[in-house]
Amino acid sequence: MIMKTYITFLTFILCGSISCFSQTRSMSDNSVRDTVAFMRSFETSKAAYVGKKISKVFDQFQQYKVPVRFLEAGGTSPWIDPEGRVYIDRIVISYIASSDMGERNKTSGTDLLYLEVEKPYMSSDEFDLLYFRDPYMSDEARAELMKSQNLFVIKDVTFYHTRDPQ
Amino acid sequence: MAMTSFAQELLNQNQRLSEKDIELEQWGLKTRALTYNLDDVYVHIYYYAGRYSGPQHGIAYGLSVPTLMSIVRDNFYEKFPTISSFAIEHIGYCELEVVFSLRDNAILKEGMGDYLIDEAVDGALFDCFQMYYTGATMQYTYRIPTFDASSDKPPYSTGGTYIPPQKPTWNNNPDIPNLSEDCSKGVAGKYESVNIIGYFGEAKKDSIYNKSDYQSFLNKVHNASVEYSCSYQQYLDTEGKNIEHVITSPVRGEKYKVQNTVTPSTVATIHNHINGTPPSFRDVLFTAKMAKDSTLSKYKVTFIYNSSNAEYYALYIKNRSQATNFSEAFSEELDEATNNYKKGGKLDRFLIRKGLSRDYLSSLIAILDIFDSGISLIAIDKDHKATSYNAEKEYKSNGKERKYLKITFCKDKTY
Repeated sequence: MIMKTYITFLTFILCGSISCFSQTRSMSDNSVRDTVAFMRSFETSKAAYVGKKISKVFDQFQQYKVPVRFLEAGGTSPWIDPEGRVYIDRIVISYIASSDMGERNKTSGTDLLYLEVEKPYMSSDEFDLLYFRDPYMSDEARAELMKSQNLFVIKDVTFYHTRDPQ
Repeated sequence: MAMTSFAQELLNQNQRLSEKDIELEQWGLKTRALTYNLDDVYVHIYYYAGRYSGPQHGIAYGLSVPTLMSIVRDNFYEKFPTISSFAIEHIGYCELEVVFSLRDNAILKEGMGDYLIDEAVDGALFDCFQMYYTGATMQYTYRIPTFDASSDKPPYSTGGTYIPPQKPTWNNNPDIPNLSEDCSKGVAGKYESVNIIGYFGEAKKDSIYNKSDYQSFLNKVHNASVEYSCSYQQYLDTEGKNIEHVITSPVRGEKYKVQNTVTPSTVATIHNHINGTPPSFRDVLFTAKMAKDSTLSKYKVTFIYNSSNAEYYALYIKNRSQATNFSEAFSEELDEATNNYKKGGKLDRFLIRKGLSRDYLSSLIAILDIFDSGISLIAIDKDHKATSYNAEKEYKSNGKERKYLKITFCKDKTY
């Protein structure tokens, strides 16, 4: 009986040590286990990002070793623009690649981080020229480029974890 | 790298290379000419930024504004007396723009603009950013055509040994944004929409009954600063044999919004967009709402007219049941303030995921087709030739979802 208790105690200690080691290791290399929580954290702590250059968000992804596998942009409405033009008012990023979004959308949901940017807005033509001229460039490379150019200032941050109709 | 520092780098490494060092036939450049303000011709030159091994141990050279000015002066300006001046400036990371001012507008009639547009070869644009990443400087190559259209060999001035990157094949690879011609699918309402526009001309004025004619609408919207709307109605005469075509008096709206009035006899409405944009999401929802209303069973199409080029867009109800469902499912997705999809809404998120949010025409086509709106989009030009649009609903290849949808158009060759 004493022996059994002793073994149970040792097992408990050993498991605790492994768990502790695993956690320490996880913290030391800044890896992220819950990517949804990681993405959501940008919205919950948006005060740290609003008014800052967009590289701050990319730096955070880099620090926690979460790749930016998706990068897109949204535009203003051409229907209320005197010349019918579109200007970029938000950058949208995710760690989920577009090729996986369809499947994720049906199962666990898609995660998108909307980064609204400050005026003056860049025209969509200029944006395309800067970031989408090469259709074969990966979104990760686009994110690197956007980070290095650092042309956008964040106005607001919103996180969407959803399953959409399509 | 910021544009200014990039330009400065070019200035620092300004060097004009020899034409003979490059095999010009293996590459081309994309040149586009636009007539503008009747006095200027904008020649918009896109430069290939490929990887070059220059004559000095693999060093590649960029083309600076002064270098290009010198080349333009030698090959273009001094040979063509009707050019009064020209200017060159950076307008983008890989682009320099050359703007010519002309003394004689007749040159446009002689086809110089057309000639330059013809010179806009279909070559692919190569990526600047690969150069940026590899740390190489870049060589701009260019070609400036002369105005002598009979000449097979316009003057070239460039240099370096060009090692072309792999050319993208735009029309065969569905992984990239693509708007290609495909007439294999029919689109409901294409010709009926054209016919209805033809009926507009048969409407007669009658002030007692608030009847107007189509010319009154066209007069109102010419250079208008606000939107105007008319209804087109059809009535059978007392014997039930002849159709009377009626257009109601134009209703004045606001800058970007107008109230369309309909009755059970309304077949179509038409309103102008002062900025020439295609139908907005508000217009789509209005059309879907008409399909939903059982008292408006004659209503078929919403026209949006652009007075600057006399072209129409038609939103044609091809399936009333689908349009009803669409209206019920997505009415909340309208941003009332902007006539656009609500930011962060279901449709907006879909468009973002598919890389369409920056392209409003492709967005519209995708929303109409992918979400089974029961509504077709048709463009009708001033000669009443119609163009229909489709978006593929199956956008997977090898089991993986593709980011970009294949969007196709079919333009009438004759009508």
